[in-house]
Amino acid sequence: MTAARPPDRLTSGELLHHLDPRSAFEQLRMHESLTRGELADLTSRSRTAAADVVDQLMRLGAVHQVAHTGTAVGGPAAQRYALTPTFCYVVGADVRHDEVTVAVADIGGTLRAQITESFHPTDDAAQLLRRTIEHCLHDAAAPLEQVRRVVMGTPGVIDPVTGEFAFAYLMPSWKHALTTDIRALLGGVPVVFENDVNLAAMAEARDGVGRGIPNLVFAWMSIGVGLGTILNGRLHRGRHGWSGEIGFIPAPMPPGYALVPGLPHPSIHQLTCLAAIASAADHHGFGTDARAALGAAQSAGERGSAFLDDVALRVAQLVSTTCLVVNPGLVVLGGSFIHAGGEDLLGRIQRATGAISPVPVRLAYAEVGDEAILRGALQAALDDTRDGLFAS
Amino acid sequence: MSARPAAWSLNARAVFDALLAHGMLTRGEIAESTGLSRVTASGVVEQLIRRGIVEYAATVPWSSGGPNARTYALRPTAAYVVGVAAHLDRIAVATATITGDVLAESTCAVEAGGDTADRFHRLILESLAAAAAPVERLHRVVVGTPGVVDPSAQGYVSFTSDVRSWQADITSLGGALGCPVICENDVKLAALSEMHLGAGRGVRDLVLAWIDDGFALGAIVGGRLLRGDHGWAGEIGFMPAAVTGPVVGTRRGGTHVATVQSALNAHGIYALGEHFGVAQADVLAAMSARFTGVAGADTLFAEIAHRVALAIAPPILILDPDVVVLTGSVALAGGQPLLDSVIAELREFGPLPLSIMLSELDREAVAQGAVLLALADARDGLFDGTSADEGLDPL
Repeated sequence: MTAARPPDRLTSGELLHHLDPRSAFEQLRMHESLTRGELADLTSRSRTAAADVVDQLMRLGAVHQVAHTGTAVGGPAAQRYALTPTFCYVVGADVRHDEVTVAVADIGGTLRAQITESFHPTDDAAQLLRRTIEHCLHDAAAPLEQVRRVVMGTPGVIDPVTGEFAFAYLMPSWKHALTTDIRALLGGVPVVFENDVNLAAMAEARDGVGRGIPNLVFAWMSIGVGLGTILNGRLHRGRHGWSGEIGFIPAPMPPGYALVPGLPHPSIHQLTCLAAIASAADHHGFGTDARAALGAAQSAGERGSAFLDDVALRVAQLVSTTCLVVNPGLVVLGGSFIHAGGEDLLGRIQRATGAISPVPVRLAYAEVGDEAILRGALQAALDDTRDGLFAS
Repeated sequence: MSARPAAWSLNARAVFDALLAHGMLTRGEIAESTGLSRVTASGVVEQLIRRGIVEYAATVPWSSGGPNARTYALRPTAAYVVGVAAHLDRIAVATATITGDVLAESTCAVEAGGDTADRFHRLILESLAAAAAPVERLHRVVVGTPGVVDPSAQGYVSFTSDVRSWQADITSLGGALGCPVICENDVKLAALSEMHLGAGRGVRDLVLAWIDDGFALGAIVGGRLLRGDHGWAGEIGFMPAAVTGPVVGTRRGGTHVATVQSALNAHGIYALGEHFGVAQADVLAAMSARFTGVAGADTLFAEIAHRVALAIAPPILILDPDVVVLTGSVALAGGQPLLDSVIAELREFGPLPLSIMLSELDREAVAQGAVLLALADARDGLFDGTSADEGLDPL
């Protein structure tokens, strides 16, 4: 992964006569086929630069010649080139406490296969993951030797420098299985772990409601609570991978709020996690299914209104704290239950946030859906692999 | 497809940066350092000499450029910047050369009845005169001010408790001085100082917590100020705080609510002192570890450490910066013992990674930060979309 020198450090001669293979690859990926001249025009570089890069990609096996289909006026048509998407593959996985979903994509970005397996805490995690990956590769007709990278999204804090778990509160016993055993079982394929909410935020920023917004925060509320933070278009992990572990932030709890299992102190976790919202739903007489309760409350008159306002106040604490530290252009709300509150709840959260501070806040529900973590994992694997292809 | 940057601007900036980093260089060394060809590098040096930005420095008898090669350096007096810190009690002004040498620094008290844009104009001219800097070569002024500064409308203070009249006239000040004058939040500027000159040297992500007559945060991410989309990044003072001791409440919807700001500003801390039997005049002394004669000092100290921990937990858990730096009179009076207590309090919230330090800067960190921001902007502006022969007045 060589970081290209920033453009302001390139001198004029370099700008014109150097075409980095990564940019050429992107152009070929976005077009069915290209001539060398078209590639030069699309990238504003010289023809020599384009021809050099095409040769380099051909040698790697990433590009092939397309058969001639006709002639141009005055002579044979220029040779056309196209991406060979199956020359390598990546694997993405969404690893949760009770199930794992694995998907395989080719380097062109096309999904080739996807499998979900459920498991119990007593299962051998690494073996199960390897079996699922092998099944999925088989379905995709992709040999393991051609897999360049595996990215696994999972709850917990992953140190961005070492790639090891710094903290895994949902499944501490998995730490070793995930980081050591699975790497051994998959041989030389690079295996990367990434916080699940970070991956979901990347998917939302690329394909969801966050498209084109450089600074956004994805607030994920489920069994745990976390933020995925995108600053200047890039995922912000923090020095130790702790960026976004917002559940730990102390927060005042109004009298009468019951503490739920998890973090012991009054905190954002205690206000907004699934168990907290379920407990609030129960308190207001809507049962203990948070999602169903949020749906039912919208047409339940005053009682429903009281419950929705209670939830809005809780979520407003999370949103305000975030906005008063980062002031992003958009806060995306997602996870396992919040959508069920609909526009009604979104409006109440907006008003409750306005009562805390004048910071401008724009709210939206996540769009990508249940597969955000898996899609983020595949995308991260594709991005890193594409960058790495041309590193040497 | 974005436009290709003008080759001249890129090359001139590369030569400027090489000379800024190394001081004196021969043409050969400039070419080597920038990656430009010797011919191109020489051409750019000639143009920069014509524009008065670069000057001939010395002849060295030995060098890679052969015997008696000439060396070149930036001409520090080619352009100047001014940084202003508009504190509530005093105004600090500093003038620096484009190469970053601070030539004049002054501080004066805020005038009764408020300050006007005219007074700022006068103070800036006095500082320039003290630095022997002609006003025609003033390229940029940055004014550090309390409040929220909207980055999409530079100079527009969108939310502030400081109602002095100069803020409305900031654009007229720019007209009178003949160069851009922009405002920036004071704590963000102090964070910039801490990053370049203080405890944050060498890091990329830093959070500065300012605990003085008020409380605020300034954050730097990836080496750049984190302003947020509307300048609100760091205004954590508005959050409700889970404090146990007495607070001066913020009136909100008819009820008093404790906020981070009301728990840690001067009023909040004085009220807390009173509660523990510490007189207003003794609060800072009670915070200081060397002072043990004040009754109630221990409990006051512990409660303040708790409140600081509550206030800095959000930026730590949201940004996880390389370092958190505490500054302001309350934090500095507390010193290392306060730092230790704050860290112990934070450990109660979870196994968070903690890298917290005390500021290594003095009171004028805001003015220094204003100079740093003005320098960055002025250097960007030197070669902005200009050809070799325009943009800067010939000297």
